[in-house]
Amino acid sequence: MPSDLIDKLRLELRRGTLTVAVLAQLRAEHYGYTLRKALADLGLEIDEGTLYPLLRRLETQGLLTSEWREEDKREKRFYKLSAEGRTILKQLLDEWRALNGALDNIV
Amino acid sequence: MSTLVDHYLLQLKSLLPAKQRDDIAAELRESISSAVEERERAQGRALTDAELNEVLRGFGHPMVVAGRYLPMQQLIGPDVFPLYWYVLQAVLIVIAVVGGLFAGVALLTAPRAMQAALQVAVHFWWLALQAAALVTLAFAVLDHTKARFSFLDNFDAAKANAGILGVRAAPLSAIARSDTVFEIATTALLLAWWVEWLVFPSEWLGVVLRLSPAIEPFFYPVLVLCVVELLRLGVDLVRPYRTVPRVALRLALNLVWLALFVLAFRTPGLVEIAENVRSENPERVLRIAQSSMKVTLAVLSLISAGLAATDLVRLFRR
Repeated sequence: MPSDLIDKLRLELRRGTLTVAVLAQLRAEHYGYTLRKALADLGLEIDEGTLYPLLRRLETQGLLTSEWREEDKREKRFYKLSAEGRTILKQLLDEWRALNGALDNIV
Repeated sequence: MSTLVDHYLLQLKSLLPAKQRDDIAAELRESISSAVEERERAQGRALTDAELNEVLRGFGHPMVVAGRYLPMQQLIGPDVFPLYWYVLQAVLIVIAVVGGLFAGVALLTAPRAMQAALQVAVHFWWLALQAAALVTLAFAVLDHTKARFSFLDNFDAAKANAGILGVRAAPLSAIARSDTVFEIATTALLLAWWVEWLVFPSEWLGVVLRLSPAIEPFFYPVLVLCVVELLRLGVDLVRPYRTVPRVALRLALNLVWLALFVLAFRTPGLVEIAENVRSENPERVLRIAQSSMKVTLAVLSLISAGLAATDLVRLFRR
């Protein structure tokens, strides 16, 4: 099925870039909902069922830190990039730029 | 918050690890609340259950969402899976063919043909399930070992070309992996039957058959041959090409098989009746079983002779 195939390939293509986008967006502190909105406003839609587990995984890997805090009378979990996450993000962005450049040359 | 959301989060919590359960549910509840509030602000009214349902659908099925929080796990990884799938199919095909033969014989010879064929089918169905479980377990262990010792990552082409036991030999031709896998499945089945780990059904004949003491002189030679064959086939699987020493080894093994099959063919009374369940004419059943054994041995002798002749030609052509 061509549509199944394109969905699968699109998913593969997005998987790595979502991680980079989330890390980059968390240079400024966000909680889940505002992070998703910010990414969507910048053109990258990500559903909640993907975003929240990804945030947990990145936190477990030490790339993010989080804390529960009250805002607008509700407890929210705020995430931001850790020092290690900052280093990794820089390396990932270098890698992404190199890939992007190479791909531009190829296509 | 609506009971719809409570139910959603309860379903999700039941699928999450205990340590993270409350924390994840609290975060998702907050996120759902934010999404609901935003839509309510935009519409200037409270959401209906249908609209709330739509919001929850955006989050995904609780099982899918919970699965994404769990660490990525797999029983057999993508490196090992293609070989696993291949071996599993080969084992199941060999069992299906042997089972089909037994069922066919049961249909043609048993007094209650349909019942006998069904008994045989059920027997082989269980055998296939056990074999599939064993193969899966073996490959899961292989995958785990590979992940732990990363031996597939440390591939060394120079070592792989060293031949068997370091003896360098120029490859003669490629061996089809399908042939090797089918030979392994057949030899493993023969070995399992030989050491009585596997019992082929015979109750449908009205008697329980077993190998007679006349088979005893053959026990250890066949056992050793099966083990050597499996080792040889294991090498074929890892290094799928023929070399002179390996062709010579297969030739020698087939000559030994041929000698054993001929000797067994000439030995009378290899099968005997262990128990008469309900047969009115057990002597006739025994005669049929012994004749079947002779025919099988004759066919196996021809196969061994054919394989030995092929290997001889390969060595001469070189």
